[in-house]
Amino acid sequence: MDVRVDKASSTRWLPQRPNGRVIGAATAAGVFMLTAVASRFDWLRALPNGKGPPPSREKPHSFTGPAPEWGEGAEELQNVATRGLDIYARLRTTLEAEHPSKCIVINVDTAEFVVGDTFGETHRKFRERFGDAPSWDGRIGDAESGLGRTRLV
Amino acid sequence: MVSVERGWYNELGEPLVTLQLHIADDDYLPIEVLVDTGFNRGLLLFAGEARAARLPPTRSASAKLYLADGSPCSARSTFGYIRWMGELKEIEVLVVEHDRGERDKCLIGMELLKHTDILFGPDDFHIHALLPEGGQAG
Repeated sequence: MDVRVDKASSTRWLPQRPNGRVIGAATAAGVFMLTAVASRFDWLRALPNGKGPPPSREKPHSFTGPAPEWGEGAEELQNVATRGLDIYARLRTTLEAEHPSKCIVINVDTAEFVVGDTFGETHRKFRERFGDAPSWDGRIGDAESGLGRTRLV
Repeated sequence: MVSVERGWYNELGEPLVTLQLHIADDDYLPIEVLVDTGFNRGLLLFAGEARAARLPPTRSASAKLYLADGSPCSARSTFGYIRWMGELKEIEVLVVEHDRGERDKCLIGMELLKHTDILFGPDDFHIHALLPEGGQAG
């Protein structure tokens, strides 16, 4: 089979200088590498046109090892609560329409949840399904802010 | 079968009852708790009691709580066993993440008090288990 290659059209897609000459392979590879590196870092991605994702230095919290002892690990608990509230906020409209005033326990690792009439029953169901996965609980629709509240005397 | 819990009033007139929190085998931790029908969960303890009763720590954060002075505090949910109406009963326990202050009290709430009658006398009170229809107490 006779294969002919039109050199002009085959190089048309490559980056070219203003004078029409194709930028060398080494230069193109350099541009590719820089783009790949930039995509690894939010702060670089955000730079070129200002439309990239906002810079973030926060790493997702990983919950490994035994749970902290009672009275310790307040920061970790706060992290779990924050994630639980975020998930609740995303699901809020649906939850309030489908399960008003029910108790909810959310698996903060997977965003799956269990609802029930009492906290005891709901936590029991959660434990059967998810074991000791980190969770957040509240009562659906029990505050204008979406925060479940329990008043103590 | 004992299907009654007896309580008393403190100097402020608050209704208190002593709860036996199971630790291990025949070992129990007696805890004075306030009977609070405005508390919508089963049992609330503080970190000190949870440690003493060796309740398993969890990563189960609970909705925001407000203490007597209005300050918010964080709490975790776990499970434990109490002796209630003569039986060992599993119960969800809310544990406040700090040790108990002078004014703070452990609570029992509606998830435990449902299906009971409470008779408030002048000097003490009794919590009776309601008989299920056609059944026996217990």
